[in-house]
Amino acid sequence: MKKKKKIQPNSLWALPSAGLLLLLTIAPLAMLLLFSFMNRNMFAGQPWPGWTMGNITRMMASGTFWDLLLRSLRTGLIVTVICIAAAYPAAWAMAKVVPEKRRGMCMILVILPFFTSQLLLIYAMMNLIQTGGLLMTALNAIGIPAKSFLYTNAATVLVLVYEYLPYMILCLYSSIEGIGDNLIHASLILGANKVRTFTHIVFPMSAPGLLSGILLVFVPVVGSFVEPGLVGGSNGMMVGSLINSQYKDNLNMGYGAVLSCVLLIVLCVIMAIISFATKKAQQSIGGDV
Amino acid sequence: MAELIVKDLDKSFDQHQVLKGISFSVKSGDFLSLLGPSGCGKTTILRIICGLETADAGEVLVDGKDVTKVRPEKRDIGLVFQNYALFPSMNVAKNVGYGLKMHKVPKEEIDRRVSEALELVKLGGYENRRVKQLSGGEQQRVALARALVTKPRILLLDEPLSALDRKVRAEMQYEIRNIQRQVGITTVFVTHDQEEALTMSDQIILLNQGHIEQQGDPYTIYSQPATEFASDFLGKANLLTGTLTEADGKWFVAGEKFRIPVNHCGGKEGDTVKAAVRGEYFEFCAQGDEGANPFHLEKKIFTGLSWKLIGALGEQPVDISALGMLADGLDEGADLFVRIRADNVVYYNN
Repeated sequence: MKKKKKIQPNSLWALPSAGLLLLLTIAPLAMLLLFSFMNRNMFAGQPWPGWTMGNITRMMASGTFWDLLLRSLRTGLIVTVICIAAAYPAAWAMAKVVPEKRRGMCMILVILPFFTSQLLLIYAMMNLIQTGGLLMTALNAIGIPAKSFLYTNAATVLVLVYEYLPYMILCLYSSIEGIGDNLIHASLILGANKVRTFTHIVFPMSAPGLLSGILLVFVPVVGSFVEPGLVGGSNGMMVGSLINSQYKDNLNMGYGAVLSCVLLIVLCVIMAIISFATKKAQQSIGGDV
Repeated sequence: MAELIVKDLDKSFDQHQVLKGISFSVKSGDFLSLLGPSGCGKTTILRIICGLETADAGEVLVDGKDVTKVRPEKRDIGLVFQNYALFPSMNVAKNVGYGLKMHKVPKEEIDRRVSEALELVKLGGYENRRVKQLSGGEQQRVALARALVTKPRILLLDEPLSALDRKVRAEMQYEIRNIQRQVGITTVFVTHDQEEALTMSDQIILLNQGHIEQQGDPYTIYSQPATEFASDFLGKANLLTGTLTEADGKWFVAGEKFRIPVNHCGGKEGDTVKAAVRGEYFEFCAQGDEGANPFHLEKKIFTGLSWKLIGALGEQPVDISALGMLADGLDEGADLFVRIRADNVVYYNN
């Protein structure tokens, strides 16, 4: 009989995926860093510009950049908080209230927007809230003299929440589903009301899902530039828009790269803080984790 | 310590009635077992008592006070779950102290009472262990400490031992009963294991398909099973169909080739009845001895404590259990004689 060759698991197996990671993540990041120290755009047919610190000094002195960064972070915070507040009940309902056989249906409803192009979603929302759109017409018809808030920051927030809510719901759903009903019941019987059961049992146990949800919502929202450009109006610009315009309109890749790097670092720091704070909160409530 | 009364509980799930007019009471400090096969409604009763489930009709009284509409967190009832339900995000001390924290007990007192409770379940010094590091038996002890530390009025145990292996289970049976006596807490214990119920309880309620088959102390319920179901579920008695007859003031159930003395408990001569005879009620005797019935031995099975002798009494199949040596020298296929040792055999009208 022929002896079957057994394939032993080997650390080399990680090579293809590690290589891909290297190629698609590390390399671009390194290039971004490199470009930060270059003058103008070497791919725009200009002669070799040489190294410079000019981009960095310009960034430090730029009031616009810091203003926009702050505004973007604020928008990110608002959108994330709204998403968390809206997603917890939804995820809870899906994981604990809806009968098991209908959960698949709910899941499809949540991920349905993913089947549509992002741009289409934005235009649909614009259509809904514009002057003379469905929402305004309906409000006016019942006698509420509402003015369309399209082309304001509120519109940007609305569209971003609409786009990113499913990510938060899915993240929270997966960790809430893992919390056994018995744990909730045990908490109730031990004298905790629903609010305290949430803060002491559900929150710490869903914290990992919450963290990944925050990561998936906050980071892209802060860096978004399509939505503010389309629905945010003249005052709606965010830091992503500024970076985008450096590449696209000003053909100033070096400056764009510096701004991107700073945004990246700021986001990493903020996520580290959020992650640390969540773990601390979890620990202070639940002992060790 | 409190008296628990359950009155006329009805409950249906999706038009399937799982509880039909369940009523019983537990005296203060007593240990009551709800025993029955899976799906008999025993866990539903427990969940109604602690408020996790609402009954369609009926009420639950603790110390005479109706708690039917009280929310679970206000009922002051302790519950130990089958799968322990310890909070995985907390260590042992935080788990045990959770109920006290929710009742806003000062921190020093929580620490003291948690240590006491852990001492009680023989887990002193386990305060800072992680729940995941504990064995099944230890986890169940933590769950018990967590349920007892708030000094609830009633303790409910929902098949707490079924996930443990045999040896640990026997140990915990003893331990739980011991602690229950020490604390003196009124306890309702749900189990499908008849041996567990018999060993641990003051009172047993035998449930079948949502109604009570029999209630009594373990000895009575075992020796005087009130229904066919009871005789079968507890210890699997042999059911012998025969005719009820009287001779010299004594009553018998007689079949084609056997006659068994019974306790007269209703019915008249000539009724067809089923006598419930436990395997250990038989003893071997010689042909012609008083009360001797022919027994054909078909198969011998060794079960450890005793031999199970499968055969036929007359035409009817019978399992006899005989302690070790008594079965020595009995060969499969032999024709023997047996008589009934017990004088309290019960029977049921067909």
